[in-house]
Parts: sequence; C-alpha cells; structure tokens
Amino acid sequence: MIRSLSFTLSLLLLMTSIAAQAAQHSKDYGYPLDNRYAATIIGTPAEYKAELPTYQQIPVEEYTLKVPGHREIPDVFWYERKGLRYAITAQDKKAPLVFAIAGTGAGHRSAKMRLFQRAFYQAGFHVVTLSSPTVSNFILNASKTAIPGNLKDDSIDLFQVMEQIKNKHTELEISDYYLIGYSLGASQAAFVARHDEQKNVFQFKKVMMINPPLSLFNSVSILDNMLEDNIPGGLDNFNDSYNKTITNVTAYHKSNAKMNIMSADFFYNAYREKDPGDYNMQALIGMAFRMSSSNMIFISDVFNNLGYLVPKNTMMGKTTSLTEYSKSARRVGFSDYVEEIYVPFFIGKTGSSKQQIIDDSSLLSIKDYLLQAEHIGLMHNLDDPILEPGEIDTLKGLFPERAMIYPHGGHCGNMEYKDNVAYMIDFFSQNKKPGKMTSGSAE
Amino acid sequence: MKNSFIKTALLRQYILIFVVLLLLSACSAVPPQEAAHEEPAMHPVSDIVKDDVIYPIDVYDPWEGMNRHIYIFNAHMDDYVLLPVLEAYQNYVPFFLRRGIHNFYSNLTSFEHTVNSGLQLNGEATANNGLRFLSNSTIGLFGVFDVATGMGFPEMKEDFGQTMGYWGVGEGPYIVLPLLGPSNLRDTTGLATDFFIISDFLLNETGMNGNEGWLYFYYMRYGVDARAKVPFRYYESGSPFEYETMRLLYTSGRKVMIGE
Repeated sequence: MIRSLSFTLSLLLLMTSIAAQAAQHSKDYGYPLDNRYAATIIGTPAEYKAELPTYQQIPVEEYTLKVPGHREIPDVFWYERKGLRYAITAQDKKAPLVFAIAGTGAGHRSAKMRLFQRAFYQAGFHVVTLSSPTVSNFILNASKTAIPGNLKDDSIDLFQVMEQIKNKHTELEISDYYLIGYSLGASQAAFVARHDEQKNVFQFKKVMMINPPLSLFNSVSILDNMLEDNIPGGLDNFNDSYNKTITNVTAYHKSNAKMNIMSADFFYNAYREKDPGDYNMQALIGMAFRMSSSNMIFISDVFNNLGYLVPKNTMMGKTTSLTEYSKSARRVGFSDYVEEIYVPFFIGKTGSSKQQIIDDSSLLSIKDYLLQAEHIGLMHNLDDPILEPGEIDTLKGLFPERAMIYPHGGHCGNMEYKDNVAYMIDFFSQNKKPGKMTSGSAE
Repeated sequence: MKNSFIKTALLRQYILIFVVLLLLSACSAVPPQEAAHEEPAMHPVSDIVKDDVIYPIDVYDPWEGMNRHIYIFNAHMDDYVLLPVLEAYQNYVPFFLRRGIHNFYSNLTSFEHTVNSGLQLNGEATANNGLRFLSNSTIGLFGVFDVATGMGFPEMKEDFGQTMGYWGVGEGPYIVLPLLGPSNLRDTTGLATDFFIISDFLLNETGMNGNEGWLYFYYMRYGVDARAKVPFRYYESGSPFEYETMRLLYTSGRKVMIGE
C-alpha cells in the first residue's frame, strides 16, 4: 500500500502519451537525451549517472533552526512550527564546507540536493543543504517578508540562516567555504556571495551556479505559458489530459508487465519507445512549476493575510479541507502573483518603480559584480527551456572564461551526468579556472 | 482446532477495525470558516471553480474529516515510532542480514502475488510469480536469496485489491488507514483478505502451528520493510495541499496498477 506511493509520485513526472526517438548525442558530450523537455523531465538515466556513494552510505544528519524574531505560524501550517529544516553531511576531520541552495519548490532533501550531498561528501567536503526560499518551510520560518521571489531579500534571508548554522555548529572544523545552487538557487547563490563581500563572514573560495534563469520573471512567464498553451481546450479541460495520461501510462505498464514501474529508468525506457510529443512534455513541466508556484502563493497569501485567494481572517485549522483552494490556487499563474501581489508590495516597501522591481529580478542587475567575480562559475545548457532565445549568450557574457555551457541537458536534466558531476567537483577541489565546453550554436 | 481459533480471533480483529472506521466516519470534513463581514478575496473560489468542470483533485472522500485526523496521526507515528525504529534497524543490523530478512519475507509475499495473479486469470503473472516463489524457496534457500529475479522472474505485485479491481469492483470512498496510509474501501478489504490468505498459508503450510508470535513478527517486519522502501516524509513536500495531492496520486497509481 505504502509502496505504491513512491511509484505514484513518479507518475506525476509522466503525464504524457508517449514515438520512437533515436537518441543522438553530440560527439563530445555523452549525455543521452537531446530533447530539452525530455531531459528536464527524465534527468539522467541510471547508466549515465556519476558513480557515487548511495544516500544511505553517507552520514546525513537532520536539524532544525529557529530564526529569532519570527512570526507565529498559523494552525493550518502547524507542521512547520518545529523550525527551519536543513541537513549536514559532515566529514570527521577538518574540511572545506559547501552550502547548497535548492531550486524553486524544492526542499533540502530533494533528489538534486542529495546529489550534492553524495558528490561533495565523497570529494571530502562537509555539505549543508538548504531549502529554497520558495517552499513553505522556509517562507514560514525564515523569510522576513514572506513574499518570495525577491532575489535580494530572499538571499539575505538565506545568508542569515547560513550565518546562524555556522555559529550553531561549532563542532564542525571548517577550512574554507563554498557555495552552490541550481535553478533559482543558483541566482540566489550569486546574491548571497555578493552580500558576503560586504559582510565578510564566509569569504567563499568558489561559487557554482547551475542553470540559473537570466531574468526570473522572463523564465516564470515561459513556464506559465508552457502549461496554459499546451492543455487542449484550456485548463478547464485539464481532466481530459490527465485521464489520457493515466490511460497511456497504464497501457505502457500493461505491455511491459515485468518492468518495475518504480525502477529508475521506467520513464526513460517508455520515452525511448514512444515519444510523448513536445507539447505534452511542456504541459508537464508547466504543471510541475504551477504546483510549486501555487503552493507558494497560497502560503504567502494566508500567512500575510493578503486576501488574495483566501478572504482575510478566514479560520482554518489543522484538519480544514483545502481542496477548493487547491483548485483556485492552481489557476493563478506566477505572473499573476507578480503583477497583483509582488510588484505592489515591493513598490510600497522600497519606493522603486515597477520597471526597477522587475529589472532587479535579473542577474543583469548585478552585472558589474559578476563580471569581476573570478571565483564564481556558471554551468548551463544551450537548450535550457526556461531561457528566452539569446539569453544563454547574455549569461555567457556575464561569466567571461568562467562559463561551462553543455550542448544539451534541458533545465537541470544533466546534473547527475558523470561529466557534469566531475566538473562541479573539479571546479571546487582544484584551483584551476573553468574550461569551455564545445557548444555549437544556440537553437 | 487451534488454527480455527486463531482465524476467528483474526476475523474479530477485522470486524473491530471496520466498526471503529465506521464510527470515526461520523466526523466530516471541516470547511474553511470565512469571516462573514470580510470583503471577498481578490480571486474568490466562486469566480474560478466551476460546477460543470471536472477536477482530478476531487477524489470521492466522504470521510475526509476522519481521514485528515488519521493523516496527522500517521505523521506523528512516523516521527516518534516508525522512523526511529527504522533508523535503529538500519544502524544496528548489517546490510547483508537486512537483505536476507527482506528476501525471506518477500518470498512469502510472492505466494500472495501468485494467488492473486491466478484470480485475475493472468497466465503470465501467475507463471512468473509461481516460478519465482518455487525457485526462491528451493535454490534460494527458503527465500533468503533472491535468485528468481536473475532467472527472469521479477516481482510482479498483485494484491487482492487489484484482483477486485480487475473484476470490476469500484474503489469506493478514499480511506487513510492508521499507519499504512492512503487506501480506499476496496483496497482495505483487499488488504484484509490478503492478510487472511497469508496468515492461513503461514500457519498451515509452513508448519508454524503453535508459533503465532512468529506471525506478528512477520507483520512487524512487513511494516518496517514497507516503510523503509518509501522515501516519503510527511509534510516535506512543501505543499499545503499535500493531503489532496497524495489522495490523487494514490488513486491514479492504483488505476495504473489495476490496468482499468
């Protein structure tokens, strides 16, 4: 009974009908999925993954942190009252320490964070994993505004959490500090590093940014559209698409009865047999993002009593049914939230113009810093679907001689590929300057 | 004689569980108490959610109030009992021993899978599960070693809930079971039936008569093993709608397994 849950969780990753697709890879780079959407959804197939110790073989310890002066958490989110969760994977001797920041909607225990724990622990680092400032545990416990999405504010929140962790765990013997993040966590890593230049607390030796958006709000609108443009008949017909997907997965499962649906490569094999088509995969990526963003918006709404989806002062307890709000929340895009909540709030807080607030969500807002920050490296993919055409070149320009751009991998799909893992570790372990991957032309 | 006594005792336990479930079902879900004098939200539910639209998230859940209470109970049990037990088990019992124990008990479950594949008239799965059970029981030294997977007989899970689904029994209301988590009326009935089949098998066919303690140990181990395999942690999805999401995923997942 419980067993089928883990399968069902992975099911969400494949709400697709499935056409034969020969994997063609670039000569220089062996990551097998050259479809950007498939790469984003499937990640790295087992035989291509870096060889690392399993999660069970490394000493991960879970902790919680109370951030001083924080607001009381309402009953409906009672389960977050224990504090901010994070984990430390410690070496038993003096070692360099890596702080890792998760991407949008991901907690500190997500699969990509486990990759960082396994890879960097094996390479001799202490690893501290932190949830994204967009997840409920962080918003409710560590965000000062609880209006997530502001790179500067969220990064200061992250910085203060990191500082508190440093002061709390005096048992750790630390030689130097390193910082890594993927997706939105990568953008935040840059802002954390910049903030640290003023505070001089960590003096990061190296910082690695994996697949950051150039402009957060551009990427968000691409992701919003991936969902809204790819459900035939619009979101009111989502049920039809959903049922079709279940029917297709069922048919595939039936014809491959001996294949364990929980095995790591079930979906990779399914994809190789029958291509679901780009629009289905876009819808799926858009849906995954919509689920994260609507969770975030609902929490921010209730916690700040904004009256956005839930009327102000609505009483909700531990067992209140939230089903109706889950339906309304799934219909509101991140772009709506930016327009209706985020921008007005930050105009009020900072006195800046709307344009200024939008510009601040881009890495270009810290261009001067990035251009001269020789310790910060970029790892990205030419075919990352969250970027607008041309944005990859702009990103490359921000990290002169420090950008490693792979020909494919989608959005974070190749992070577990052996070359990518080796590159991350090399970048941190040695003091060599990052090299350049053969990249070809964008698109 | 003794067996039939135990069976009666087990049957009594199931009946008791059902009565408790029915009594608990009296509590219905608590709707959000929107303050009457407040202005409506900027995007009120009534503007967005339409009556004539089907939402997959609406799984039939008349006992939602009870289910949500049990969901919270399960989260606490996980925190204070199951996960600590699991951690101790993983820390103090070496891997080869855990794997041996896991294989030994899983092999017994292959018996259950064989019976259910047969009941679904599924020749391939019946042969697979039957040969799996036989080869692991003999060459695999009573199931301690899983030789069958290598021989081309992987585990093909078939339970009585799936059997009933195959024969057209609808899923019925969603139920969150204490400790075991998401289920529905059909699968809960299936679980009780499987429990019965395996108990009967263990008592009668394996010469375990008079060693019922062993049976309880079997179920304790089953619980630990089942929990160990699932990386799920309550309230770590980062979603305030975790209850709804799990409900949908369980329901959809079972549809795929049954092949409706």
